[in-house]
Amino acid sequence: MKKRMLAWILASLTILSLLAGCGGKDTSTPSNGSDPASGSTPNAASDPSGSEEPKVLKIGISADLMTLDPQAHAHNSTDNMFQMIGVRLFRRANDMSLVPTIVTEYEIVDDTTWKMTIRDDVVFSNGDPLTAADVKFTLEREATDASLVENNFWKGIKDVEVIDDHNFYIHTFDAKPDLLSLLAKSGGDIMPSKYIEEVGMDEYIKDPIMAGQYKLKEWIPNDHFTLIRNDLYYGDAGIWDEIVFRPIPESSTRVSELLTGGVDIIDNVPPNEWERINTSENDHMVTGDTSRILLLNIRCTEGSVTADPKVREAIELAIDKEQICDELLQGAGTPTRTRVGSGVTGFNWDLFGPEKGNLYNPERAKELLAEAGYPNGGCPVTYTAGRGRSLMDSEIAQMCAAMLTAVGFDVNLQIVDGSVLSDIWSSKTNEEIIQIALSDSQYDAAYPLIHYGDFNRVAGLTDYDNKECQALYESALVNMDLEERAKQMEEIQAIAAEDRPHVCIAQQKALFGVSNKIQFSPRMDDFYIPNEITPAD
Amino acid sequence: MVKYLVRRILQIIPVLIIISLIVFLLVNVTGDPTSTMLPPTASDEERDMLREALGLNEPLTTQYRIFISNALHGDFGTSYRYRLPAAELAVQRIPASVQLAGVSLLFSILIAIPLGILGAQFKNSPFDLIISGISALGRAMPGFWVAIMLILLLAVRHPVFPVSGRGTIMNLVLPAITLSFGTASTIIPLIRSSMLDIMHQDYIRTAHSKGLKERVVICKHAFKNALVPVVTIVALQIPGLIGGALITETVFAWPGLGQLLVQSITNRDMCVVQVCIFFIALITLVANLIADIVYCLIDPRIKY
Repeated sequence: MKKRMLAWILASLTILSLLAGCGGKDTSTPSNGSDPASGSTPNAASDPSGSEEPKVLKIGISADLMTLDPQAHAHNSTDNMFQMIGVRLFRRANDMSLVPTIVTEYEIVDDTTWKMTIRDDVVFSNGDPLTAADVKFTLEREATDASLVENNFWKGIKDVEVIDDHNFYIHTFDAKPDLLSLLAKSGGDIMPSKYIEEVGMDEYIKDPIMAGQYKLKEWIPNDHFTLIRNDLYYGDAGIWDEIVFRPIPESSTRVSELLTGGVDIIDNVPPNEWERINTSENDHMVTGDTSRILLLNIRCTEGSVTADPKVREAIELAIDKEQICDELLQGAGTPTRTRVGSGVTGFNWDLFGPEKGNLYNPERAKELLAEAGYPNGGCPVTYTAGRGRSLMDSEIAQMCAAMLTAVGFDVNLQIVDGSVLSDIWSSKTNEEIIQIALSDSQYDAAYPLIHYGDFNRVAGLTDYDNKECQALYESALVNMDLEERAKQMEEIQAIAAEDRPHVCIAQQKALFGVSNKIQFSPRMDDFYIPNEITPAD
Repeated sequence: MVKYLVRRILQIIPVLIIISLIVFLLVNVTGDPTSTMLPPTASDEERDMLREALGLNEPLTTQYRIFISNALHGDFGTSYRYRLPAAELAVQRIPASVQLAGVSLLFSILIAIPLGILGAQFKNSPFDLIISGISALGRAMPGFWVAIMLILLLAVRHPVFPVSGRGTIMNLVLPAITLSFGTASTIIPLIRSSMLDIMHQDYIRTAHSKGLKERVVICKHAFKNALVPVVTIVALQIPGLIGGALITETVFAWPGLGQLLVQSITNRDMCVVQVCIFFIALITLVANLIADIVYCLIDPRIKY
């Protein structure tokens, strides 16, 4: 009797564990069709050149989606998916210039009012027409709901006044010269107000209906998400039948998937893996610029050792940014002295590049330290950096710490987990130096320059308080003369580069491994534009 | 026995409540969820508004009371990160975790039992030394290294298995081997030493003197009695395999509970951490309960 019971327990456990695997998969969105996440069985990769097989593009990404709420994230992978399944009023072209999408006409009525007209042939993937009411719902939700993480970008919008189905005014609280770039950023994907009214937001974000070139077929968190062509899309049809994204957090596994044909493109390839890809017959590496700037945030707080401008200058002169870019990043970075990425509106070219961006001069750094009261070195600084938060961050921190030590700093290097670094940053408990990589999702210098122009944002972080910068910034924020506005922002960068609340190290590149079967050129915003990723032949 | 089972099941409830309190306090004292949610340029005011909207400005006691009250109604809250019900997120991962853990455990037992018995039977022979050596090696080799080597060998150089992901039985092989390598290495020496103890008992000598075949003596008389400590160690491995297989899950992009748990800890996604710990604790308690039942089945002298 007992033997039989034991046998039953063992048999049940075996069957249960196998059934758990062989049975249907739990999905957060409706699922049908093939199983795209089964990985790279030999030749499982798509054959984009084949005419009969469905054209499937598989992309291995380092981070999964964050949410299916189009407005509740500040997250690259999630933004990338939404720009494919949604439409925004404006978008960025390959050179990051702004172009209208569904907007056919727009005019500035006065400093705080914009009038826009949208196409009359745009429909959501459920067949509902996209109207001005949907624009109103989308923009006003982002502008008024404080629980949305990017609400601070959007809250300058006062309301949207609907004229008729295809015409509307956008009213802003103040003049808003960056409105078009805002409309092109994450959170601007137009949502179907009528449908959401029917099903409620909680249901909507389980299976978001949008109006883009593709639509979401399924999302199995940490496994894959699949996009399929939206046949109701108003513009050119997508060239791929399906696009499958597979989150593969471990970089060596991502590379192995690429090498075995399991995926066609992978992102975030660390330098130590480049050789594996470049020596493969079937794959190659491609790089592209990003707006991500690796920088040292330095305390200017009265009483701290780095309050002395000479000490801050010594820090910049002690660091050989070119060596970091060439040896550690192996070319995946460009020395810079500005927080703004090259190509972003308002960028100051005089602070960028191997010559202008790198002031390395260790002898002068020693002299500056002597002038600051440390003739024999020993200037104490605590240098905090994260691990795994950005490309080679802990290695760069170690190299910088060694360079600082070489000119006479007494460096207390603290390398912490990425989430701990976020806590230190947000709680403003940073010591003299904190290393962080910051990007700009709006591609307008007004966003990164907030660190120099709005003291409230940096109080307790850098405590950088320069009235000239603040006046320029306040003026640039509402300056509708875009040329003059760009000059103001360039000037702010020049002042900050001399004052050094940040010592910027490098503008980082995006690193992709790509199958030779695919033609793909990275964009500065890391977006995958399906029709710009084409079969090689 | 029934009384014992009822008592054990009732004990699970306070244990789960205590665990939830500890996890709640630890997650709350280690950081602010908004620090990983908001952009670095967010002001204190914006951070405070988000905290208010998420209910994080309430006193900890109120937050915990609300959490427990909702949990008793089956509502474990909404993930800050995914904006989906936390329980739904965890439940989605359980099949993948159970599948991987179940197959790994099966592999481990199938490898460990014969090797452990043979090691004891041929004590101090070259065969025994090889088994002990392999077992020590298995315990010494880091899981992530084994995983990467298996990928390079059996997926890249000789493309027999898929590199990563979940979907077919083939996807299961490499992660299950990785996990079972470590688990089997832990069980083998235990079975061997347990068998050696038993083999010197009087009743085994009696069985031999009765002229029973060696196979019968080992399988029927010795192995059954050597099973009690093995059941204990196997039961202890289960929670580790379900919730602690993070490295294997990460390397093989396996969408399990361990990966979700660690991501949620990193993101301070309190509700998801709570619900993951809840399920792992529940599985641990159930595994221990099953082990207790199995003790009774294999050794009638054990009574509760």
